[in-house]
Amino acid sequence: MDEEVQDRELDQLKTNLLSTVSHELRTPLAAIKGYSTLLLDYDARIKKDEKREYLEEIDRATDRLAHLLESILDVSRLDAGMVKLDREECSIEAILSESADSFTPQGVRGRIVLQYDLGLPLVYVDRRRIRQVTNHMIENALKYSSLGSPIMVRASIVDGAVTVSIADKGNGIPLQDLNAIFSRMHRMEQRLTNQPGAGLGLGLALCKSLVELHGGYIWAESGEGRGSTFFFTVPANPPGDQA
Amino acid sequence: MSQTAATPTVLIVEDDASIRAFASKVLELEGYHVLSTGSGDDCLSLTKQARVALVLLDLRLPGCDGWGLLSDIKSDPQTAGVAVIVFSASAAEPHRDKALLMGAADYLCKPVAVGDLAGAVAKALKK
Repeated sequence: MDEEVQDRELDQLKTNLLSTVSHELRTPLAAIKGYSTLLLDYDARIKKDEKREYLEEIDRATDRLAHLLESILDVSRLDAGMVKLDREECSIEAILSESADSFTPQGVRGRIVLQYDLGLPLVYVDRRRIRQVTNHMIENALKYSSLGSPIMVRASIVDGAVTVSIADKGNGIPLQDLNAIFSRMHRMEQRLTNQPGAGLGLGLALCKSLVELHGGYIWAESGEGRGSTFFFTVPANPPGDQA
Repeated sequence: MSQTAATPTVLIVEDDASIRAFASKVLELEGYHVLSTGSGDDCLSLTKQARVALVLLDLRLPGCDGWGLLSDIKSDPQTAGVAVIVFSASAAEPHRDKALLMGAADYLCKPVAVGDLAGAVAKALKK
């Protein structure tokens, strides 16, 4: 590709990133600014239980903001090769169970169905990072499928690798978009064309980088109206095989 | 609050539930009759049926383009007189200019303090 064209595309990507980041940060900021000034300006006219409700809104928006900033920093750290995995031997069942339980406060834990093959080997992974991947995939599955429909989370062993799949019964992803969904640029272009949904669209790109850093693979199978299943592998860790 | 002939009705079209609840509370405290929806689909019919005086309109809505809604409101003779305040997370200056050119009374960029929101609504309704 011509160097000038590459420079122009990079400039466009930077502009898009800035615009998307600015837009996404403004929504939680709007809740924080709105509810805090509501408490300050209308203090005498707001009931005690309403005040608590508004403080909870501020708390949730702050968490959302921190989560967005963490995603941006993670992308930057991964790009710079600065993410070092803190690997340990652990069970994939435990990671998936923790991940599912993290959705209890949102009242959606009941939708997440866990299934494990018998005799799964231990995996040698950065527990927090793999949980970050599964959390994001489950969150996506919940977001893009109808209320109440189950999210099937399964761990099995395929060709020597522990394979995790997360399946939803949502609208699915058109075939032409399937290969591009893990690309950061593709997601951002979607965000800039008025596609609704929370987040920066960096989540799947982050998942891909983290899985690949572990030596695994990530992919998705879907079709319009057929739901989506996201897969990733982490190498199994036979005893004594890895230091 | 109960609606009276003197109480203007404001329709909030905003997909973020937290922001929608915040804006509803502020405008109720300011004495308006408030309707709200998270979807743009029923914006035009609600505006007509409920004799809405002002629409607070988010631009990014699920499956719906806020710009299209602004255009629909302003081009329908039944709703062309309804004041519209665009309430957007985009700080882009061309968006503000475009909204005003399309007939919006004001363009509020998130985040906003309650005083700015209440002030903008009061000003738009006086026009």
